[in-house]
Amino acid sequence: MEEFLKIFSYDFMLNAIIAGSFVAVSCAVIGVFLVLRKFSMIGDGLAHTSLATIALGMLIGFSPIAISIPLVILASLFIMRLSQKATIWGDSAIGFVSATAVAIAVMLASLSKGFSNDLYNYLFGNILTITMQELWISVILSVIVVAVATIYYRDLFMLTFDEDFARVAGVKADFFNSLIIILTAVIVVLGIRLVGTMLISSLIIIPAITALQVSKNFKQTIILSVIFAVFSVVAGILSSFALNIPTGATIVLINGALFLGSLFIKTLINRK
Amino acid sequence: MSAIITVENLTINYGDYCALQNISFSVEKGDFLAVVGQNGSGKTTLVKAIVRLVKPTSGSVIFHNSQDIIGYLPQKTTSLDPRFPASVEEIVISGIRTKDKMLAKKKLREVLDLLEISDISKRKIGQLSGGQQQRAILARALINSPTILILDEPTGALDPSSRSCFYNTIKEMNKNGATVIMVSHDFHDIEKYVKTIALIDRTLLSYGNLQDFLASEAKHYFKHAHKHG
Repeated sequence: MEEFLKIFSYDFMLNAIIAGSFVAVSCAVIGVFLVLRKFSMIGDGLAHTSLATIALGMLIGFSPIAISIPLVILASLFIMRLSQKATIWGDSAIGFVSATAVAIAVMLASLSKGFSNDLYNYLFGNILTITMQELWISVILSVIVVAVATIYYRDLFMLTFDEDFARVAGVKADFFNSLIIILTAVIVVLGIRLVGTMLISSLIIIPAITALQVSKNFKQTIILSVIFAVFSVVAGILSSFALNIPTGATIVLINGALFLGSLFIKTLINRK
Repeated sequence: MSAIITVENLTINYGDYCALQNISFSVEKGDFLAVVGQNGSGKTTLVKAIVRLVKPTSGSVIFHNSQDIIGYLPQKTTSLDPRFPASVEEIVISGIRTKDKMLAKKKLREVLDLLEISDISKRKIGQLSGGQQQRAILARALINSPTILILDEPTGALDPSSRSCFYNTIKEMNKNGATVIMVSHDFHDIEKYVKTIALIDRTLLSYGNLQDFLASEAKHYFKHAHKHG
């Protein structure tokens, strides 16, 4: 026990837990809206896109995260426009951007011949090396996401449940659609430091679908999604440190176990 | 009687396809208008143009009184996913315009009582029958006491008794001064409740009061079109 408590005496552990929890809150809140609007795979698409932007940052000697945020935002808006205007479905638009971005990342990595190993670090993340600057960005972003969700709760709910009705009721649907997609892009880039490009979409999708199994209404879905996400991140960081196993993968596996557990509980309840 | 909405030379094209061509009519205050026609005749497009969900290629829809409150009931299929985690109460109150929480709660109670869904207000929408779901969605449209009610095929999922309850509510609102515009397939209900009929088949084929419609050839066109639509 004493050994375990010693974990909290390390600054890097505290930073990881704080930053991870805040990123988890953002992912969980946005995830509910994305999952219910059947746009959850955008997290995956944008994560792959960020692999290309990180590779570009490394190639030109610029901060990979700093260059990724604007470029991934642009990619997210491109995906949205493609699925709205070009008569292709949202998942196809995501697939197109995602595959193209991975191909660009591979090309850039082969051009550089030097940073393939660094790029590998971004594939699976390393939250234990998170900087104070990244911690603060995570906190600020999380506050922004929660504030937007609270202030515009009614508009976002209407938009998620029934976009046509929301538009007739005067909700600025295009503005909120863009806002959600931009916040998702920023969350994805920050989340990469936590669990990496390969696993970040799981942090957006799994807490939301877990909450959906057991919630009774919309508000409860958001709250439960946040609880599941924060629990899995904190438990993942602590157990991975204690057992000396990869942090990102541990977080995702805990998320997966929570989802399977909730599915099992729901099945039991439905049988009664 | 004065015009509350005027549709003027309305044309809507989707690419090369002309969904509506040069449609013009006026809806009088307090009218109960049914928009009828076969499948693909442009009924939903017309209603979507009226509520500004579809932009006209040319022509316009004019609301003469900016104070009018619109209550809109979209086609059921567009809005309901049985897995959606929202309670009836959450859905109904999402339609409210006032920021006064007390007033919002009062209006919520009133509309839930009016549509007899108070007892299921905490239940998830996906767990309800088609009739209950439709009443919840109607409650959302009615919560602001609209002066114009626009309904797109509102009774498709309802059994006869729910349908009758539904129409009685709408009829009562119409009696109290609300203008109703409704897309419908159901000729028996149209005969019982509406005052004016617009028959369209991408263009406006006929527009007039129910009695004139029933006496005209247009009635046979609609019945035939519906049977084969």
